[in-house]
Amino acid sequence: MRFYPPETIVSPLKLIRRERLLPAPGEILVEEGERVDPVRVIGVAHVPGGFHILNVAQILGVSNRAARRLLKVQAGQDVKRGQLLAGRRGWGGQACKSPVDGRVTGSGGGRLLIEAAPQDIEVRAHSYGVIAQVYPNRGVVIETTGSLIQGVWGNGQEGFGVLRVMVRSREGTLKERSIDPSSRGVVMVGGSSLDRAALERAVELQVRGIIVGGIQPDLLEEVQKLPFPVIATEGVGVIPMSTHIFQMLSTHDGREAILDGRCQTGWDALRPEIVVPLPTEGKADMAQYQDRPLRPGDRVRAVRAPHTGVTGTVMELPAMPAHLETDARLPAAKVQPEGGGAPLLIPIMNLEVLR
Amino acid sequence: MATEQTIGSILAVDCGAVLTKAVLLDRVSGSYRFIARGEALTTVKAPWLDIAVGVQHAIEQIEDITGRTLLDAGHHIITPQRDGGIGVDVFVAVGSAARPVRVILAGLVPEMSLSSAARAVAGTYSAVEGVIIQEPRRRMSSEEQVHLILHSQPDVVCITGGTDGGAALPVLELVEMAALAYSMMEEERRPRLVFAGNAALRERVVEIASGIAEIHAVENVRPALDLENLNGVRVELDSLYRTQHLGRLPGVEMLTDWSHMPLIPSAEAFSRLVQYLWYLDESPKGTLGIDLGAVNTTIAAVFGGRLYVTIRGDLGAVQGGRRILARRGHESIARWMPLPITPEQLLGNLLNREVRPSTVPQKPEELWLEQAVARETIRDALQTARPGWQPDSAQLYRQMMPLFDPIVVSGGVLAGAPRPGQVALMILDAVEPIGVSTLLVDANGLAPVLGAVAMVKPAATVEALDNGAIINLATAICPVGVARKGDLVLRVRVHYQEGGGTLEVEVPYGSLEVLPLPAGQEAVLELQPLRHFDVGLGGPGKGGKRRVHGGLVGLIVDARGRPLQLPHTPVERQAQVQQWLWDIGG
Repeated sequence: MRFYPPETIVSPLKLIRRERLLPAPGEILVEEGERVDPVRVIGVAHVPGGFHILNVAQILGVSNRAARRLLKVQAGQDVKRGQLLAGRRGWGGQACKSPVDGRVTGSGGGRLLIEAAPQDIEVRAHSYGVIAQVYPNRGVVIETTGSLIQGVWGNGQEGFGVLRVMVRSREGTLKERSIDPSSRGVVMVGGSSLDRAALERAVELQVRGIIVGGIQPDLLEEVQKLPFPVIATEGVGVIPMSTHIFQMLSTHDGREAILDGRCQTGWDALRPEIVVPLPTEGKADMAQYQDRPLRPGDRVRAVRAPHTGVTGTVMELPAMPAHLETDARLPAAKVQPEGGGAPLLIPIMNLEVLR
Repeated sequence: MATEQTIGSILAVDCGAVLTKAVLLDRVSGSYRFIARGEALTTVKAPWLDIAVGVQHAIEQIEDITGRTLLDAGHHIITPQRDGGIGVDVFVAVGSAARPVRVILAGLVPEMSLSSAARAVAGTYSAVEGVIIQEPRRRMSSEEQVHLILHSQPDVVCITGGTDGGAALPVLELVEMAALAYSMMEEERRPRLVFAGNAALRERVVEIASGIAEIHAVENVRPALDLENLNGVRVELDSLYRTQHLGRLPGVEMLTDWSHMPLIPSAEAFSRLVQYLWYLDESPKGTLGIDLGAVNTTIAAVFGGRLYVTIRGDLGAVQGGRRILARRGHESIARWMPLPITPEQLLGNLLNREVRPSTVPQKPEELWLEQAVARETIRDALQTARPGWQPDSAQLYRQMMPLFDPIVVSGGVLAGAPRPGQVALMILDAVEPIGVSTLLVDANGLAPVLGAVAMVKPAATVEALDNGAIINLATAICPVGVARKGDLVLRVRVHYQEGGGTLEVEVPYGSLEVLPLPAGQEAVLELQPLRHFDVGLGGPGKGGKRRVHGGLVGLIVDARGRPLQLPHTPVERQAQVQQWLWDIGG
């Protein structure tokens, strides 16, 4: 029977196109074909400032209709702090003044809406590459080549720095004692996880990022507050990093890596990723996703206990379903783990293809 | 397209948020039967970005199982059927793969118009992102109201309030505030403004918001203090979901091209089937349907032929876990586990499951956790649904469930449970039915698609059901009353039709017993409640006879009491849950 498991990209060399969007409409400062580095400002977003709603009718003690007649400003008009917006003539006449510098953007029901001046926020490229496309006022598409590794969980932060593999094996735990002052400013690569002491030390030394197999659930809250990116390649828990990913990161030890720890589940799912930019002369994997069923020879990764993180090669797709410890009978694949060991029978639903 | 008279084979697909299921029905010996099913990932997201690809994958599995050719070289469905079993006569598709409509509700009084509006929204694929209250004592400031609209990015702002000809000024203030918020948004990102309040204000509402918002005035949800009208809001949100969400899924054109009709929301198709089940015997009891998807939960209840649908677009077997954890705490889920689980383990497990929603548990402890989350998700969804029901005579006791027969369950965690006893126990724990109920399980994921098939070929649905498309799980007998643990509360005699034997059992309070009655067999059940216990046969202490059919589990006597009480200490509770699992064969 044909099965199409989900895929994770773990590619040594790939052409990568990524959108970089402004959080609000603004100006784009780069042009198509321009080469950028991570710190290059690609655009400035005009993020709306705060707003104030003034109940003019109430302040002046008049009806909504009367308030409209007493307005001295109209929608679209810029106003200064303290400027008269509406008022009544004569003795004891009330006045309604603007509490901020801003613009009148709406009125109705005896009220005025004043938006404070927008704040300008610079958005950086956060990548090495070439501007492939410009969306006017909105953002750009940056094209680059390099190794691409999709993670599973991230703390929402972005950053870049030089990779340093801190453990001897993919099963190793990132420990406090292995983090010395020379780790300042690097992206640390751990094995199966890191402990609390190591996390505190990493914060103290202002590392640029952390990549591990799993994040222990009791550290999740703290990790989410960190100012630098933390990416788990396998999931939540103590999970040895996939052999393939650990080998690839070890190969890039000492190279600069770009980390995007943004992660979302549900309708707008988003996976964190690690990019190691590499120069290329047309050798990058340009191929788009190929829709084909799982078959012997495919490289796969197990994504559920008890084999989470195990990578291997599909040897066979048995016709008969496998009988699991839960008593369920499900289609399975016979997988030869990388690094040796006996073949494993893993439900196909719990596999993803590594491409 | 074949006409209803000429329709033979039917291929139906259900595009869920995580998985797409395809089902082949065909005529065998003159009547419709379920032939085969396929299942594949739903392919709305990257790298596919095309819902039709997942449908093709699922159909390929049916081709592999049956040896029939259903797709042509270009991966298009072959229709109508040709000689040699190539292709199918009809293709129908239902779906829930689109994100729900995001709604902000605004109104005057939470207990009046806002609660009516919330009930209206609950009947559609919508999620309430925020509520604006205008009542003086609980009023939000103008800034808070505008802030909520700006930052929730809703698809719809639904303004209610005022009976027809009633309150005006505060309702108009809500409209003015919404208009102010809209004026700060880019035009193409402004949500639709649905006005479902005082009908006398419609012209004023248009006056205030025209040119700023797309205004849809619908029937007032609360036209009078004692009158509720949910239809207008429901139709509006339902239409928005069909056209702007389901109808705009990438690749959906291919499916509508194949079926010659738009994708039908899965909940509508499922509810149609549940209503049909009620009409099979028009029982004074209600019929209950629960479709527990990965992301959505649908509760369909029918009383006296009237259908009540509740959709929780924010709560499913996968996506609901963390929501329940955040709102009700670790204990609410851990209490259903036969083993201890720390809050950290629970959170880690739920997060991993969210990241990989299509995976299946391989270890028993992970299976129990999924089933624990399923119990709480159903309980939560039932809490939302119940206030909207009008069960009439099916409601024996105010604090308990109305009488239901049958109860049908669908969805991966329920239908895919490795042992039938586990499914039965999940239903009993989550629903807490009373009286005598037949429990049905939609093991092949047919329920939503059969509801859709009924729209093109009603006979196919009828015959497929007669031929066992929905599987009889058990007959549950759940006596209600007060006793001490161990007191005898029920005498049960089972007169087996086949072989003619009789089994007599005395049931003590607090127990969960399973009596044999295999699938395909019939028996007459004779019940004699003791100590004024009620089994729904005419009142407390009243017994009687009932013909029942066998099922995968048999007959279950659930004398654990209502409401179900779990032991207080974790150790005792875990032992008790384990015992119940053993008792029922889970």
